Amino acid sequence: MTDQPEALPGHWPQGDAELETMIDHGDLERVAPSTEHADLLMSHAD
Amino acid sequence: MVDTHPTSAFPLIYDAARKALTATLAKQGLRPHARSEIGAHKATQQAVQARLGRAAGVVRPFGPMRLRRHDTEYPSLGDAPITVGETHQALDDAMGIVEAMKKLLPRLDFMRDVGPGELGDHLSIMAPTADLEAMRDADAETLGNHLASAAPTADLGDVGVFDMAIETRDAQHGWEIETVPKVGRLAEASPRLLCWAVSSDANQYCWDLADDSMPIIVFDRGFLEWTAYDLSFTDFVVGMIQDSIPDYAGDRIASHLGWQMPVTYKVHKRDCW
Repeated sequence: MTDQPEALPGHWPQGDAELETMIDHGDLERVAPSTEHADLLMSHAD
Repeated sequence: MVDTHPTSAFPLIYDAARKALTATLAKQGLRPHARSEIGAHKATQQAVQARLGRAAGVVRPFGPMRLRRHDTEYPSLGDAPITVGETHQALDDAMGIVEAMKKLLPRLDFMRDVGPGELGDHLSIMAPTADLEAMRDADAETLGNHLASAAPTADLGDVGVFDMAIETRDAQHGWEIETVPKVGRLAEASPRLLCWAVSSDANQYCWDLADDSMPIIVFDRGFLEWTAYDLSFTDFVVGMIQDSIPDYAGDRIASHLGWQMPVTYKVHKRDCW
């Protein structure tokens, strides 16, 4: 799986407007999508 | 630990839920900002809830958990201590959040890397739509307008016109038909259905959002029955292709595909959705 920087997933439009607003307000920030980081976090949660 | 040291257990339970939520953001290339004015933890919850929309119910207990966790980490003299009962409830809620996020991650992967499309010209996997709530009780004209706006440039004969909001509404109405049997545990169930795929036989594939583990519920129009499967999105789709789901009563995708490998997946036009 590639971890290419992309602002928001193009195929998951639900919530895009709210997330863009959160980014504009400084509550959320864009980073490179990372499956490895997600898996690490989930392993801690699980 | 929950019974003997609830004040110590509570933050650990909370952190498990928080990390599961953060994992879904990491997968999407998002993270809460450390200097968020509303706080990074609250931002995490709001971002996941925005993305889940109608499916966000499972995340809502995180809000009260966050407030109580704050009490344990930064206690004041007047704060009520964390009880064993609260901690057990938090554990149940956190496990629900973790399980739901584990099921969501493959779906995020699939939508990010592949997108909505047609599996073997037989199963249409739909993109999430933004206005499920608005469509639930919409009249026919509103539904028509929604559909037109959802696929303004679609080649209707090519990609079909399946839409998560409309199919979800149709599945919810279908569930209310009392004469259609609900198999096994569904006989006593009251699911909140979210339809994510439709087959060429018009069978509907849904999640039950009322259950924190988000089981898949299938409506088979041929046999006129509803059946539940405790599988993730990926495991279910792969199981359909391989014809490996135990006691499966839905579409026989494998036979439609004619055992041809690789299986074709025709991606819907991105700008149609």
